[in-house]
Amino acid sequence: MTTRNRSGMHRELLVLVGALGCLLLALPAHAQATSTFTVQTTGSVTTPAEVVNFSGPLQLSVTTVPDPAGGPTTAVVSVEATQIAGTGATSGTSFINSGQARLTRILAATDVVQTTFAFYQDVPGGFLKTRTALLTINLTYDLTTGALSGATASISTPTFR
Amino acid sequence: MNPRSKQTSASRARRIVKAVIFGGGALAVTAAVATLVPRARADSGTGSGGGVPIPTGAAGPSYVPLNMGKFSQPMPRFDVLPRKAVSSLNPAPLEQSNQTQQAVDPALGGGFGPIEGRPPGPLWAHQGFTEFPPQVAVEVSMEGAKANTTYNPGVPPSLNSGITSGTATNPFRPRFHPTLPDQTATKMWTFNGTLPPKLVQGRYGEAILFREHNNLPADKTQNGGFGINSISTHEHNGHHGAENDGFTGAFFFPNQFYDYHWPILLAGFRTVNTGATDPNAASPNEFDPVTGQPLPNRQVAGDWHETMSTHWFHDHMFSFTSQNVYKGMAGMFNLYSALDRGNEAVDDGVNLRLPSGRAKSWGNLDYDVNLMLADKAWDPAPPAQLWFNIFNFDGFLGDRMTVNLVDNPYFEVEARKYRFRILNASVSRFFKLALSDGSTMIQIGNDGNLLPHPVALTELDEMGIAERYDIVIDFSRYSVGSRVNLVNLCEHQNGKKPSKDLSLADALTPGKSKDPVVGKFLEFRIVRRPAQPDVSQVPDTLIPNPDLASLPVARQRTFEFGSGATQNNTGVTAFSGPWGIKTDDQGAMDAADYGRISAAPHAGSREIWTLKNGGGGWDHPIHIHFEEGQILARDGDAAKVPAWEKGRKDVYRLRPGGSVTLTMQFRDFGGTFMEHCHNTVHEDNAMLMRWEIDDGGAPFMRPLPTPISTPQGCTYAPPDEILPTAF
Repeated sequence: MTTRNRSGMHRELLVLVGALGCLLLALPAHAQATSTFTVQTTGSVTTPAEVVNFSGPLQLSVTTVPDPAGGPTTAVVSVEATQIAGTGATSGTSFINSGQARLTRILAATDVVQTTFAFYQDVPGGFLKTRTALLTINLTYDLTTGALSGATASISTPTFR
Repeated sequence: MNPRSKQTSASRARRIVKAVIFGGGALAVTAAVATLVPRARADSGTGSGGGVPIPTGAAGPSYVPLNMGKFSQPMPRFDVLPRKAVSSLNPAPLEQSNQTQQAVDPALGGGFGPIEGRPPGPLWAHQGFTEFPPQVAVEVSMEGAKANTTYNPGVPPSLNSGITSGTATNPFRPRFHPTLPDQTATKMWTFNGTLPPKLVQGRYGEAILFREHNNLPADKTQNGGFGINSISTHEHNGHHGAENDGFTGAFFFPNQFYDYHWPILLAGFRTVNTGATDPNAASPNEFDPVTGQPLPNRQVAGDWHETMSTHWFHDHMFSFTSQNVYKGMAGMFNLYSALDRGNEAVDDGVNLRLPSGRAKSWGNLDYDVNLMLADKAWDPAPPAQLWFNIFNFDGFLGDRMTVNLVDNPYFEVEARKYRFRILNASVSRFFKLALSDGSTMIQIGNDGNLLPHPVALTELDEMGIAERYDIVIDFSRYSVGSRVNLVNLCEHQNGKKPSKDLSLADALTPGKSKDPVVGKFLEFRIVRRPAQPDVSQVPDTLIPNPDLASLPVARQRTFEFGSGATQNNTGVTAFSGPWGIKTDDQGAMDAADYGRISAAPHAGSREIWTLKNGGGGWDHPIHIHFEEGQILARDGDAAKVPAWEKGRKDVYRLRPGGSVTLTMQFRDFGGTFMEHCHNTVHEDNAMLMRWEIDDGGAPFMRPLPTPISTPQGCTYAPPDEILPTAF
């Protein structure tokens, strides 16, 4: 009787521990976190006319949002590249860009994000004659807090067909 | 009215019971069985992901015959609905609902009921009916799928990828691909029962009477396993009286019609530019038959900054919007104005001359193309009928991509500028679009409205359900004979939210994504140089926003969208589901009840609303009916509003854990409107709320009663509940 009671208590305890364990596993490891980084970014894009060199600050804002249902944590990566200036290597022409993006990613210790942006001369109707730049961003996260811990970025020529 | 003591909802069980009752038939049982099998997954071998599980809930992937390759069929343009004389309508439309009695089918309870399903009396009379009498009639019938013998794409076959079908001798068939069987009349319900989807063309100052007949089966079990035969059509983005908004509770039944009056007016017409003296506030006129030149624009009252361009219309039946829209109850509505007249050659100092064409004075479709994107699923074997999982409350995903309701098509273009009005008409899927060569698209509009300034983008933002992006692509940069594709970069693993955005390189690489809807889905084929020089323009300035800064902010409200909703009302207007909306931080999440008034802005006032996502596991594209909003901040930060969201909008994606703060002015019309998630599975279960404008003068009353629709007639009931902060 006693043994049976003990067994019952053990079972209840195991169930309780198991439930707590499941609860802990289900709980997100961290709360929602937003990190901002400004990364000095350089690179060049080869166009049919000339090479365009880019330089300037890339502003990143990353919000990591745990899934209360236990799914992967989402990282919403906001990219602001409009402060990066381009200069034609031969002509000296100045180029602006409309490089804004909000990208959904899955939180991981490191993440390589590739996106593109259009660049063009800062003249009326300039946005009608654009070229494309490839922006590669290397992100490093602190998985215990969900915060962005490091970022680098570069600009290059896309090779899409 | 009930007190605000909440009861826990037994939502899922109730939902299943309701679905089985309404769904009826063996297919509902099939669906039930499918949900008992642990997440049966569909696997499509033709997506760029190649071999991949998307949880459609079906027993297998959508049937794909061996000879059904991508880009093996042309994309049909929309089917332009005829604009008829109002005098052709019989009976003639009335200001108040036509309550002439008729016998009601025994399957609907028998007895007698009104021929028009619009709620009766002065409360649901057409506002402004005598002031803005209908000048054009568009008459449609909601019915089961059949062959189309009267297809009118609005352009010759040379501008419709060579499509010549759609005649009595060569009908356009209701199927997703020529190698697939026709969809049956119970599986697919569309406007006029046919494909392609329908397009209404209207212009400012020319009121349309949209008469819709419900010719669906009276027996609600004849639904192919999903969908319901009572309907309510929402003119999405319409600035009309609520009686014409497609209120979720103002539904009508088989053998009834509903007259929707769309006056097509510039917002502010009662207080701004009332003398119609501003040349920017105008409607395009016809060509002078003698000179061949356009007659002077017809100037209209209102604020030209409120000019709209791209709407759509779709079913909004309470608790069944996802199923009915998925079955095909969706069309688009192009609005034409002096600014955006659909003629690229008219140079009158007002016309923006966006890509369109020039043969007609207004409304040319030659180079102005509607694209309706929607993921679908069908049975894993012939007869390959449309499939929907009525037991999935997270959000439904299809494993096949359709454009204008055909599977992965191609579209022939000339080497010149085109405008594409892109609609996300999916149930739960977000898209992120790019061209396969990474080149630029110019976004000119967001939702119904042209942006203040065009934005050159190589990747569009994630596009939520019901959002519309107007873009311009200049194909003159391609050589004749070349091809370029639209590509979807946004991957889903379930219907809750996007799982991740891929890079273009990854989206183009087979096997990189497990989602078959990621990758190329529409192929543009550059087939010739333009027959005439391309004189279209994309100006640096399009339509600046209305200036609301001088108006005092009358109220600020907060709406939080989340799960774990409760329902404390039990009437026919209430529904339980996992989803809900918390208003102004009061109590719990409320599950939908269209008898509950959650907000009631004063007529003419300006308010600021903050929409918050209550969790991180979900995304919600929130639609606010009737009024356009301007986004002031994202996540509380004005700097986080991107260039393409700096115009007016009516759908606001929250993103996981995110918020949107926006401002709106409430004016011109009144009645009961809605706000809801446009992931329509969330909306139906039960993330929807009612708000109203009820102090705009006669015939309004405060609070407004709730319409209770039955086949035997619509009655009114007092509101179930009024939230303390509503008024």
